[in-house]
Amino acid sequence: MMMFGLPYETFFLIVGFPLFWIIYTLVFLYSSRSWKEKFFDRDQN
Amino acid sequence: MNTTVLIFLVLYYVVVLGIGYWALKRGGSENLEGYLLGGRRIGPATTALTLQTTSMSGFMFLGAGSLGYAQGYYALWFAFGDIGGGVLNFSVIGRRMRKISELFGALTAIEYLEKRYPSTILRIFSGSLTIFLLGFYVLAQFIAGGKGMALVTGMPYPYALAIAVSIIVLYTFMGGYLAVAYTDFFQSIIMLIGVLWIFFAILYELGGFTSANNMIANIDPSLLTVWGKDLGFQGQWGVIAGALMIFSIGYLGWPHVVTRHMAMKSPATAREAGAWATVWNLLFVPTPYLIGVFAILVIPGISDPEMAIFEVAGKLLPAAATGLVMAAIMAAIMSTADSLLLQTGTIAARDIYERFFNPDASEKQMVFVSRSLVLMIAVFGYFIALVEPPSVFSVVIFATSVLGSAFLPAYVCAVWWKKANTPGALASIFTGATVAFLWEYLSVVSYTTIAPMVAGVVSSTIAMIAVSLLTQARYPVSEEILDLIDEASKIRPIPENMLNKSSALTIESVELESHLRKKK
Repeated sequence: MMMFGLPYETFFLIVGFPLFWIIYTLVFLYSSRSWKEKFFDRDQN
Repeated sequence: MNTTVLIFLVLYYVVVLGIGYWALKRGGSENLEGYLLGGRRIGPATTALTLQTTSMSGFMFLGAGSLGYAQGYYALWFAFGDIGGGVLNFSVIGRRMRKISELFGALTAIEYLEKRYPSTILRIFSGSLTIFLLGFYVLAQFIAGGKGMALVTGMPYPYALAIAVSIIVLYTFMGGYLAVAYTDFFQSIIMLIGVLWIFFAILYELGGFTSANNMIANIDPSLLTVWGKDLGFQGQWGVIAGALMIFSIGYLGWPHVVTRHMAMKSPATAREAGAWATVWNLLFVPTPYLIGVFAILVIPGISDPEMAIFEVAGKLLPAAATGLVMAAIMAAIMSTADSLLLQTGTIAARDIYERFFNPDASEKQMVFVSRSLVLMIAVFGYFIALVEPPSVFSVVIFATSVLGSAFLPAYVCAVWWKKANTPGALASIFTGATVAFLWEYLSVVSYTTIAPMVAGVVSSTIAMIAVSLLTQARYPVSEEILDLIDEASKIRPIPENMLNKSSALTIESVELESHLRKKK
């Protein structure tokens, strides 16, 4: 079974790992959305 | 030699030296915090890209291409972990390490460890281990830089090496961390443009991604699997785990990389830096491995696979683009060499000279000593690099495994686990370094199929947990340090009273408090 000339296993890993890290980054960005505001006072000083 | 290529290289060197001079004028060497950490005012994009380029080195243009050329898509296991290495660093320790390092008043990654786990033995051992391993690493980057210059310019190796080393030393000497961080930022852009240019050129040459894969299948279908040539790595999960870990969680334990957190403008900088790291990694990291795989079709049967990316660039790109690619390769080497050189010099100055020989040194004296040590290490490194000692590159291969194995639990537990104490940290650093070193040195991987990094990290983590718990009653973490860990976990600016309090926190005071508590 091939996709883009690659075995399915290779193709899904090539897509899957970057996708995992993109989701991880988005979750990190969402969970830390208040950081800038909460550290704001200090950043201004 | 090609004039266009030379013009690109000269332009590139002029820009990096200009950044060094700009950093000097911007106060990069005004005081010790300015020289070692850029005054803790580095923004998210520069923080992210200096962390990435420092951790990657010339390996991405030499080793990554070679691995792809020899093992096909198996090589991408390294990229799968590496893509998330930056965001993992920033999300796990970035914010907390930035905050607690300021509370400790720590200026180097080793000093930070001593303030968290008060022990002079820990500082001597960690400082010496880091200087030794980073010293070899610097040496390998010097050799790679000298060889790259010699290849591009046609100069004899000693002159090429002298030019490469002089440029790195000059901007590091002038602007310290500020110069290193901003040159790394510039170099990351050059690296990205260079590698993407070659990638699109090779895809164009082969008629696209699917067509290139079909051609590889005609030569050897096993190269399209993630199990290596002739399925040599099939089922070797210990080796694959090592490939995934070394460039993902691995650099949570590299002192020259985690220093980047301490230099951020604010703890909140970690948030955007994580996003910058992921975007840059998605574009950059898998590409050299894929170029290596497709190089099998463009330049079959080359004698030295490490030259695969150079050869592809030379064959497919016009002269101007080749110049840019050569600048990109030099950028990859120099962006690591400058950080390693600065870290080795500053650890020797701050963690050995000031801590044990001259505790009363003034700020100006320490900047002078740090600069002098950077210069001395560079001159010493130059003369050793001239003779190209044969074992240097093999030492570098496990330097990264040893560093990651030794320090990973110590850095992560420093901010996440209040029970992590000094005996636990000492046991963890010693066990991790020893196991990873012996695993590689005795080739244990060949009969266990478990990578040194996996063995090292597992054993150092077990040592940290077991020894910290067993010695908790006798060696509790001091109240002052516990307060600072608590504060580091809070998402708020450091209260003024804590900054004043922490400035009075010395190793002696913490050790005294711990001693009194034991007596009670």
